[in-house]
Amino acid sequence: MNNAVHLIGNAHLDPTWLWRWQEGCGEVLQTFRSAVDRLNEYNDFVFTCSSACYYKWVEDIDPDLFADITRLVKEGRWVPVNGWWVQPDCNMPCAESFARQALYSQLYYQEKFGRICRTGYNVDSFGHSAMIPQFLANAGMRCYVMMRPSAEENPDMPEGMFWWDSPDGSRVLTYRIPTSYAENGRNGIDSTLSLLKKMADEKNHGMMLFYGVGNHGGGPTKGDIEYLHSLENDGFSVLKFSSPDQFFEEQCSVALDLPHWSTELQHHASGCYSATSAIKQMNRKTENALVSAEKWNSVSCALSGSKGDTAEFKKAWLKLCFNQFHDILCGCSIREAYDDALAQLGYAQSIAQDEENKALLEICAKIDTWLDGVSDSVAVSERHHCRNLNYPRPVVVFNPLSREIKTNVRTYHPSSKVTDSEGNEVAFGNVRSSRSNDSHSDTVFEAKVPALGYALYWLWHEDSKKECTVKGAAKATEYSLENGLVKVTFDEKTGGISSLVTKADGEEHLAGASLVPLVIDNSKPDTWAHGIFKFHDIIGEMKLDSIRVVEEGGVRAVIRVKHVYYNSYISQDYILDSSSPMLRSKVRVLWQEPLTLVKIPVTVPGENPEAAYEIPGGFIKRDCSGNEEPALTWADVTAGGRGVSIITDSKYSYDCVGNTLRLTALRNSIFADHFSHRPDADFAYCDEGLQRFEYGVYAHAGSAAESDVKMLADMLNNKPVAVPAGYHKGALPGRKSFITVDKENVSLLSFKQCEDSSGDYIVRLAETAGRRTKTAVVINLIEAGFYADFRPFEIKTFRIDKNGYPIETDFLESII
Amino acid sequence: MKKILLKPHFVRKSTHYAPDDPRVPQFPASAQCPVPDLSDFPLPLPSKKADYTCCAKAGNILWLGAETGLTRYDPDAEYDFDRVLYFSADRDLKDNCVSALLPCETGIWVKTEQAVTLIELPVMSAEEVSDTLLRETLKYVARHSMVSHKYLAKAGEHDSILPYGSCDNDGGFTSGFCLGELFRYAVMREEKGKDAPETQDALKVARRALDACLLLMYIHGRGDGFVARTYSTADEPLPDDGLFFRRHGDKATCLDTTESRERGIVGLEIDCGAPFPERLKYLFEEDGYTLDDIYYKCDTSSDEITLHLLNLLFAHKILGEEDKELDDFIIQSAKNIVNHILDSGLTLRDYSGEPTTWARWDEPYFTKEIGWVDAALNSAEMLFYLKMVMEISGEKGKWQEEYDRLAGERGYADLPAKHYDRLYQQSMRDDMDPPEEIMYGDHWLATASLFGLCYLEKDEELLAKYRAGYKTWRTSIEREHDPALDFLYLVACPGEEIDEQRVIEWFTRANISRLAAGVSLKGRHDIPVKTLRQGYREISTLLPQDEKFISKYDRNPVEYKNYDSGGLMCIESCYVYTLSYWMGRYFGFIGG
Repeated sequence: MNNAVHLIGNAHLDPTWLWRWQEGCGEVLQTFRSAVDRLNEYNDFVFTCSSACYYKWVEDIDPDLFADITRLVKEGRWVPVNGWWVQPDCNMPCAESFARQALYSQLYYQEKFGRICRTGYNVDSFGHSAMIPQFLANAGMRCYVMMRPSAEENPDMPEGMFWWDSPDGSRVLTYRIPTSYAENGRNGIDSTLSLLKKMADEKNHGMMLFYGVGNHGGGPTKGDIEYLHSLENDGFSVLKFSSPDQFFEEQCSVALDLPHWSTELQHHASGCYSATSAIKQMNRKTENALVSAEKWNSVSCALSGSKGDTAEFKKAWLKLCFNQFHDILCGCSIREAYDDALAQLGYAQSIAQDEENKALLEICAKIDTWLDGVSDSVAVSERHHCRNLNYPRPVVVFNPLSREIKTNVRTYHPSSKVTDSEGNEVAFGNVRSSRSNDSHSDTVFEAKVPALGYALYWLWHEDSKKECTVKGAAKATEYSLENGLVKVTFDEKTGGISSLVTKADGEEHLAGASLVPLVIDNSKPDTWAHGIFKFHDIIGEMKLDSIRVVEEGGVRAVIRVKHVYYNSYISQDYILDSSSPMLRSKVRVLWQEPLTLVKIPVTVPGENPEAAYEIPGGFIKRDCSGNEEPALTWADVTAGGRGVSIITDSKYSYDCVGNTLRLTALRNSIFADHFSHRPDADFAYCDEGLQRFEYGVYAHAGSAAESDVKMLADMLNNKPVAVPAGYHKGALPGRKSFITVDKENVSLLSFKQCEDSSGDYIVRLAETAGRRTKTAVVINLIEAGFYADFRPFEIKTFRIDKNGYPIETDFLESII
Repeated sequence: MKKILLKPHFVRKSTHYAPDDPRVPQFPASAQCPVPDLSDFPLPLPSKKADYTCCAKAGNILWLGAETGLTRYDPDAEYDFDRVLYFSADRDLKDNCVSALLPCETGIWVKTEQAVTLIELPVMSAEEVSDTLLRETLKYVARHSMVSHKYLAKAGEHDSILPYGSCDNDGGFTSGFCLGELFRYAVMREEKGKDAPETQDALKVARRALDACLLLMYIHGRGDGFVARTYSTADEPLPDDGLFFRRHGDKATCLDTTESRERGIVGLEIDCGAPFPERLKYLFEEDGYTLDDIYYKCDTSSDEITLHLLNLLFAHKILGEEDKELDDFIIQSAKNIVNHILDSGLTLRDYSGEPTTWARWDEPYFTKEIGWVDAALNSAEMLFYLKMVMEISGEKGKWQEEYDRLAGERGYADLPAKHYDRLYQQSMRDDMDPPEEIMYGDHWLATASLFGLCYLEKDEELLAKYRAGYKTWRTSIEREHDPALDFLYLVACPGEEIDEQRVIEWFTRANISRLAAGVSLKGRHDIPVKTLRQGYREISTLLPQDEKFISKYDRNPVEYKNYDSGGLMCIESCYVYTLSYWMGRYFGFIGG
């Protein structure tokens, strides 16, 4: 028999929640000291603790305590688990974030303790993406402990132990805690033990009892340890002080026939994916900024032959990793905690901006932008603007994506003509700038930029009076926008969209008015929305205040629609670019309605609707029953062979009710309102005030997987950067790609320098359409190119040495 | 899947010459073009760019020579996988150090350190490739009409083939070969008519291979349904890799090998007096041997039984109606085997009356550590045997009773779906990655038995279980992108998908010889290598057949390996290709 109950001494530590991180740090120090004391007092006691961040705090603040812990880890009595920086939310971080959670943490554990964590451990995280097994496996962890959702929240999930598979085939042996991660006190321990022993007998495998005071730290008390000793002595011989590592090792040593789970683990706190928009927006923007900056930093280093330094990026990533902690990113901490979080993410973004700006200017300096006859290497300057009427001004547009893009790019001055590096005219327009100064116009031009590369464009000053012959295809009428690909018709009464037709096939993609914001009652749910999985109680439809054409057409056309609801408004600039199939909306919201939620719906025609949502590293299909669902940059509803996607730059929550997909634009709950009876106070609300975000609506034939939704989402979230350059000689041509990936369904997640300072490069790629694929990757920049096979949604990491030879590795970069 | 049309495609042909051979042309300096700037080359290159030292152009085709082999670039190639080709030693070149190139009308002359090689790319249809490989196998590989592989006295030289050399799995491999030829016959009969020369040729080859398989079911003279692994004749050397019994009259004596000495049975005499089918004697008598000249190998594994019975299933389906006597013999032979297993407590009984090492389908075996993992495969095999016998004999009775008992009461129908779980758990216990734990030969056995069950079972509940089991195996099987494995899966599980481009690549980038020669991976700049937990190395992409090592269905196809599965001194049989091709035609996946 292998049905022992393993006693897992632990302390659940939320570094931020109903307190700020500074208090959480103190809580960690006190808990760790207490745990060391207990370990010194009881020879058989074993302590388990996750989160590399906590160890780092202790190492920095209390080196003596850290030395004790190091000794105990080496003795096997203190067992670090979860090779991640914190216990993050497991739905919203992008795949690259999960890679970094693992990279920095497992390297830290290896450096300090001579071992990495073998068990993943996210006992409080509110739900789990289907890709978590892959993220764990890529970091050397083959076992996993989780708790949410509970058996009541998802009765279909196996109880106890089960095999959990990602779509790529990665697998972790998973243990779901049936009761609590922090049992303490005789009564709690007794009742849980009784349940665990029964489950162990029924399932014929061991179980784990997680005991110790938790949430605000604490850990196992003397009383609990001695009580467990007494149970052991009273004949409970199946009890043993243990760790998750030991538990799984023992389970694997005997024959197991366990159930399977091969999709995500949902739902627990469905409101967490929409509460507190600001932190979510900062998370997305910081992720994108860091990934992009690292790519350009790597390109610049490779061009100059320098090794580069990963230290600054590591600092930034660790701030991001920390703020992906589940109670932070999920928007359910106290208001004051978000001041800290936004400051930390601002720090991370600042590093990203510094590094990217430096890298782009270094690359620009190598591009040949010289024009014969230009006497000065800089343009003539007049007030705030460069004004050289005899020569065009070079602007280099950088594309951080691994596919060539064709998109509109904005620069902050007007032009009379734009040409590419070959001298071909390109469509452009002078559009109203955000400033009220000088010309009041910016240039928007249509750029075609190679994969992870750049393209040089020449912009003639507005006053140079150059003739422009190329026109963009976008145009607006009073109630419509169209280009060569789509036509959008607005409803003059509601301000919504009544028609969205794709011109290639003439198909209508909407069934009824869409995009009219709905206001939904959010008074019953707490911040997490515990026990509530649907937000359907509509209390109002926002009223149209105004609709007008802002830009009539050319390179883009714009209609501005404003909706109002009591003291709040939503103003949207609907933008249709000349060559894009996606209608964009730049949204400005002023929201002042407590305990409400706003959804933006689209309804498609057709039978048997199917919803798909982006998840970290892939997408997942879910039913259309109206549950609130987490997603990353896009969600889609498809019926009758065609569909519509909503793509956002900062939102994470949707539902799909039959044929209607609804973006949750904001959710205005009280901060950290945990099943509260809400005694009167001047409450702060987590989505009140002004916010800006952008979303897109994309109509397509076929399924989401067959469409360009992933690419468009990448483009909306990673816009090209236009860098005004000077005139200079250079070795680089006017247009160049540094990395190409020959399959559209394989995305470049990361191009960075290896963390071991070897100068090797790391290339991480993901299959995103859910199909087996062989791809060719060419990185002429570092004289490398290779082939790789991908399973559906597989993420692969390659390390390339200075001679261009690749090896396949994992998130840990073959450093360990 | 829509039907695939395989267009005629080039194949690689290398002819090596000594540098001073008068047939070798002069390499004028003018023939060389400077190595172009490769800094923006649009595809991965097999050699490091800086290592390319010479270059030649033939139309739009660019040939690049390096110290690490030869590269051909065709920017206009119809298929992506044809745009960059890599030629390496020993299969394509004598050595990898290419110093000069000279295009000619039929190909290119390549000067390397040790030789000058003429590389030609003649165009052949898939059917021609199949026929070429078949003729090579029949000429060089067949031994007493069994086909596995044969060894060479000199590496790379067909004519140095050794006349002897048995293989542990002759029975299984010959069954696979036979199956391909049966499919060929069925396709030819359908398309060209029974009397067409091609049809008759296919029938002749198939019948001989089938007889060679059937012979193993009787050669031991035990009369109890046992199946020998292989046999040799007295003038062939005795391999020291198992247990062999030499026939003499009504007795057979255990021969002296390491294994028989360890077991203490050297000289052990057992009976072999059961009647021997006259119809099979020609297989050794035509070479001047008698039964007394034969020694056979025992300790047969489940592999052989599974492959024999899959082969007999299709022999019955394809040949049964037109040759009733043969059909009766097939049916009886299959029944003999399965009877033997049932009578032996779901094992294959060896000379001693005890189970052989690797032929156990019984529950006690399934509870042992190794058997616990094997149970997922062996349970499916056992059910397939019973289902197959019922199918070809039309009988139910005890077969059905046992099938029902095993599938239902004993839970055999549920076990196939546990395959990957158990394999994975074992890999965790052994601290291995799953690919390090996989027995690649099991892929064919799982395919044979689970395909067979899905093909024959009509009960929806059982069929669902078998398909579920089959799908768990696909986790590792689909790594191979092997058409035969994929085609049977599609027949068994309609609606599933396979990668058609990979199928096309597999057939069009085939070798036209199964002569072991080896390829070079070490210098490849375009193929990442991955090191698994226990140090086993894999490459990150499955290479085209003409750039990877040659093997049967028993190797990890993405193993980081320079040499063919038989080393450098071997010719493998053709059946990996011929079986895939004719199976594809037979089931309608490949157009004629």
